[in-house]
Amino acid sequence: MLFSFNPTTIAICVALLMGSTGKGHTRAERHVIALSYLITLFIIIAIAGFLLVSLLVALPATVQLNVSLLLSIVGIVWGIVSIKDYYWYGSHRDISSRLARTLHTYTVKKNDPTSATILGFITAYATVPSIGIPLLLVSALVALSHPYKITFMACFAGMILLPLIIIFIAYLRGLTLSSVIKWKEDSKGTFRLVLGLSGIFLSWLILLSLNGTIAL
Amino acid sequence: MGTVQIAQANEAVILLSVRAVMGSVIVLLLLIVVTNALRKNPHTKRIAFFFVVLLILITSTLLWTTAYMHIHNVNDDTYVTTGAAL
Repeated sequence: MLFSFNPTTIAICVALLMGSTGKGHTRAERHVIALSYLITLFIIIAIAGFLLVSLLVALPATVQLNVSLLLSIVGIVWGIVSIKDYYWYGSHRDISSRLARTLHTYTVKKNDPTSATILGFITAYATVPSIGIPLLLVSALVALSHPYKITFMACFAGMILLPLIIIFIAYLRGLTLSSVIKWKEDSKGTFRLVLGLSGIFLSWLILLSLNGTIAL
Repeated sequence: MGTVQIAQANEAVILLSVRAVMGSVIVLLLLIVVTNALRKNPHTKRIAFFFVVLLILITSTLLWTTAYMHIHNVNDDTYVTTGAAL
């Protein structure tokens, strides 16, 4: 659940909601637009997780264990880089101008359910640096559990979307989007710290499972 | 008799699992506390980051080494010694 606090998805969701307000959509239309975006994002994350788990489970046991060992190193390095951003927020986190233009088109210029669905795909791509590694780590952990529980990936995808759902509900109940943006900007560093520590914790869980201390 | 022994062994594994997870959580909480306290002062910022990275690297290296030895069945004595250090 800690992985759900990432600035990228929150920023895109807020931009989408602002776009739909600016276009003067009715309440029902805004519901459909936001839901198209959330459902697409949920499906993509769940499918990506399912494919990763299937891939890891299909590997021979020894290879799977070695891959998990390697993934834990990747997770720890990624965690340290994220924690670094808590101290000195890096400019490397900025997305490319081309991607920014595409996101602007699908959040502000085009604002309908189809565009919101496409935006879900683009968001999934844009958030790969933020949730790609956590997804890999969770998949490795799920693959190591015997028998592996695939429903866990659906829970993971649901939890990633939880803050977005809460923002959407709060927005419908009168929350101003500027306050969400301010909160996101003020907490960017803390988000990175939480993401980094969660990544390291997951890597440690994988290692504890591999060295036989914990039984998944 | 065998069933009782298996049940006791399972209980021991669960206890060890809980301790290991709790240990990890405590280390991470310690990191958050230290980080928050030292980050505000620009002079201690670098020290805080260094301390955090050092703690993460030491714990990770120990865990990784034991995991590697467990997977590849490396010398039992070394494994026990590293486990004790951990």
